[in-house]
Amino acid sequence: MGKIKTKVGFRGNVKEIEVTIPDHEPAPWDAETPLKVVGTDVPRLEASLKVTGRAKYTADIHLHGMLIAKILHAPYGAARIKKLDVSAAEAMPGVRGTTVFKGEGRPLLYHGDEILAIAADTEEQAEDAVAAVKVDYEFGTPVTTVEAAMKASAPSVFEGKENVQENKKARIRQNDPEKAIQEAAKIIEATYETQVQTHSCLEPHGVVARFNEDGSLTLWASTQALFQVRSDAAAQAKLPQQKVRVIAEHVGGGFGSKFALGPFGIAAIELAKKTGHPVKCVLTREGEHTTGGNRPSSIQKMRGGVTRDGKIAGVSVTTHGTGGVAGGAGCANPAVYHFPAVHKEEYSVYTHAGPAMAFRAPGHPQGFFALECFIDEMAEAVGLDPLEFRKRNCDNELYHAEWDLGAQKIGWKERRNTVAGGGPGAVKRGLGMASTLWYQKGGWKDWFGQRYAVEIVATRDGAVEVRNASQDIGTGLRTLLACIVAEELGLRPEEISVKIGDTDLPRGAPSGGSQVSPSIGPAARNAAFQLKKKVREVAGLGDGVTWKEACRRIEGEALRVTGERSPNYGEYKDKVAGCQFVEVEVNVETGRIRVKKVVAVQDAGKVIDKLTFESQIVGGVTQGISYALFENRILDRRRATQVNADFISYKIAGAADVPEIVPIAFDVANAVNNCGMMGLGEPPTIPTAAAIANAVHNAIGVRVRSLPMTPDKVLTALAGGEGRK
Amino acid sequence: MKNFEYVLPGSLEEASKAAADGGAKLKAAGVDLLDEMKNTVATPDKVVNLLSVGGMREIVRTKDGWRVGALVTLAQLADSRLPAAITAAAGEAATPQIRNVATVGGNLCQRPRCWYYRNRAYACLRKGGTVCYALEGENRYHAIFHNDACAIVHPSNVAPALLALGATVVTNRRSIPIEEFFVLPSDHVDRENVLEDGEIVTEVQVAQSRWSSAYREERERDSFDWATVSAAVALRMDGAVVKDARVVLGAVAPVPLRSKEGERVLIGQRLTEKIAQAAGEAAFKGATPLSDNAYKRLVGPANLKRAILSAGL
Repeated sequence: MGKIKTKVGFRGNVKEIEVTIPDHEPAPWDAETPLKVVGTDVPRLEASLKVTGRAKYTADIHLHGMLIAKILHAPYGAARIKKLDVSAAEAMPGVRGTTVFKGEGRPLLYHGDEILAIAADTEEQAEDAVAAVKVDYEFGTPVTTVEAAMKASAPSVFEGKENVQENKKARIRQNDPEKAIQEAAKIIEATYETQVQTHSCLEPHGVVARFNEDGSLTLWASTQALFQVRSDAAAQAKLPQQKVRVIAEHVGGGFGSKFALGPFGIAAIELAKKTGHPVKCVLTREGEHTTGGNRPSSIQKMRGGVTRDGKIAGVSVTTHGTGGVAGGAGCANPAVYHFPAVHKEEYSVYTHAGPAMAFRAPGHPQGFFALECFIDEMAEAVGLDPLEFRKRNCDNELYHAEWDLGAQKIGWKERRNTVAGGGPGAVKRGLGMASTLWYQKGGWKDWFGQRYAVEIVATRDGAVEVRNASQDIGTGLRTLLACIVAEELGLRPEEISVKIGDTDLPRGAPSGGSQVSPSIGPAARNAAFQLKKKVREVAGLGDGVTWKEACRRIEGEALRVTGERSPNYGEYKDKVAGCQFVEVEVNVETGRIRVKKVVAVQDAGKVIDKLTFESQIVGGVTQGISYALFENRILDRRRATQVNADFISYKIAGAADVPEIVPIAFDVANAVNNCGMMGLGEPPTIPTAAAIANAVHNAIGVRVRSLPMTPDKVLTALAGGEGRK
Repeated sequence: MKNFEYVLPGSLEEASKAAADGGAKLKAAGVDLLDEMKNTVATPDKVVNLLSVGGMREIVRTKDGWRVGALVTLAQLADSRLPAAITAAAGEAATPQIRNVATVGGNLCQRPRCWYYRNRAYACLRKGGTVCYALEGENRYHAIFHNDACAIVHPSNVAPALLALGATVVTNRRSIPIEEFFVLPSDHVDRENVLEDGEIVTEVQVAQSRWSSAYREERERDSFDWATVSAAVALRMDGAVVKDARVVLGAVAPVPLRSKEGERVLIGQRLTEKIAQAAGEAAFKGATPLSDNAYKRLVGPANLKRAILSAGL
């Protein structure tokens, strides 16, 4: 361990701190380190594979003798299986095996609940066989909304268990909030609602399972946690983990919904065991929507007090939300601003719907929709510009710098309506803003306690291969590792090949909490740092000897070096900031909102590859627009069927709905680890809906407090209602 | 998917004969039929592919109008010189990819998009059951007129425009004024038009006229989406005065719905924003919204007003 001095901060705001770096590690890239590759525009290494369709996803895996399994999902919720008859299905051509999840008498809590799976020679045969299963359903009374589930007369989703459950850990009471609010100059109250959003990954969940001749098991999985899937699969197949290998070369999105082996994986393993054939089981889109995860809904009651000089005095927040048959419907507020007194209560409410799963910044898009709209409402109550109000209630200079930059790029001062609403014509224009945050500095070990590591292999021909098990769910991990290693070795990123997505490689991280890049990146830099030292020692790199020449002097086939991830050491900020500024147009006659422009300022430590950094921002904003205006799971109130379990009526923003997005990668030297990296995947999707809602208010002078902000809600709000459904 | 016999007829007669029994389905581009078959909402014994019949793919200019072949694509129609309401309606439909294959005949004869109708787990009224699940269920995209028995909305974009321009639907057996082509659930709950088994739409005739027309629709999303309300308007103007008017509402009833109430407000009046607004309100006055679709009653008049103004000004 050695103490060093390093420059942290951002342009125009740099200071020196002392950090203690682990032995054998390079000093962190700081605010003044000259860098050749890091921070430049490097195209995604696998881009051409993806756009030409050559990248192989799990659904593309085709093995000799492989069967296809299909799952029979319950078409209703709150039902029970009276009779289950598979005889006709099993007699159908091509059918090789059945595995039953729920037999006669078992409850089916939600649309999508798995009844059984059938494997057949072809996908069509499996589909036909599943359709030929005879099920008699007994219908119960479903509860499909938070309001319905909270009624005293509501049926219990789980027998003997209350529908409403408090998340006790979320309870906060600081400094007598009631008194603080009551004594404030202005008291503001508002209730915000957010809908259920499904993950809707482009690539559905799926697993291919093959038992090998030596008794081991190989899985190809569309997953964001290879080692979790390995652990689940080993338990399911009753094998030691070392006998299970999981591969995910490319993954078409996860967003938090692909952490476990899942019923489709269990079906693939069980049917492979039963039939002696490899089995592929991929969810249908209906299965995706109903069982593949969702973001819980929320109803957030906010009450707050503001002092005469525009300081928040206190806030009280009570939230209810439903994650269907799962809990965890929390809302991440208050946050960002200084709340001298806080009361917070959170409740998860069970309903007859598929289980919620972690979804890109769990609790945050919903919590920040309420928080950032409420901040605007408080600013309005004391007659302050929302940006000025935010500055008075937050002393983090990173936010101040990003707010000023975003405001300048959108033309906040010149172009925002000083009085909300008004103006001639049916189409009104407005500007709004909201902030974000995130917490991820990367870690050195996973939840199994295993330390992350990266191996680099340099061969005599000068080729460099970087190896780590982590899957890439779309963030660009290959490219980031190539940039880091290229920077350290003095090579170009395209000279580095990267092998990932395989449990046979050195330990990788699960794609959760935006942790993969900041966890694995520093290990890659350590490995490259050591490799360079070694090549210098054994082959005289430097002193006029190029990389290629040095490698030719390597004895044996190759040099292999493993770098491990060390715990984080320093820090300038323990969180990332970020903000978005939005311009909208609202037609007050038809209620249509169109987003015209989004300026998104986002930091996440050191910017490694500017292109993939910007790509994360654009993706987050796009998903945020879709959440704000379109996406909505709709359940039939009498049978609990999701009536829009498709991509026709479950509406996701398409190309024509995505406006000009200006991503601004805000570079911050943070000295948390040797790359200075922080997590980026989640924060850019958090503030978008709130920023749009605030812009809508600036355009039309009334608030829409319910997502998605569809034309009916805008018209209701304009007609004097609350903008609720 | 259920096995079916695939028929490639060489002539209309062969096609008609093959489609004469109840288990057969006619297919043009197949945009809608294949969707229904995948959902197992349609399980035909026989699929008769009209694309193998020659012809029906042209727009022919006649001395008093146009003959639009049933297999003309929506993209062709959108690019044609037919009245503005028709080209606009065709151009707003679906996506460029779909418009490049979807046909005029198929667009008129497509089945409803109702999510209960499309869900095999719901034996709804239109599929031979006893209940319209939308009436007391999820109905935000459903009908606000003629919705007492079955609350589907007719999904065709082009139909309201053709109705506004008084088109004629020609089949292998007869000519049908488009006004008489579509049927309400109170008359036939299992189909949306008067076609009999074996009857095939061969062309649509549109007369040339001095009427000016426009089509406007509102939807939730600019990318691929169905209209929440649409309106096709044809006006015969004398200077700034409306001499005659045909107002048709789409996406609000089980059929494209002519609004005499709206027309009455316009006829004989100078066309102003105020009168267009009044016509819009009159057209939606008799609406009977369900639990979740009252907003159509607000969006509808605004959309119709814009259609009237762009037809007349």
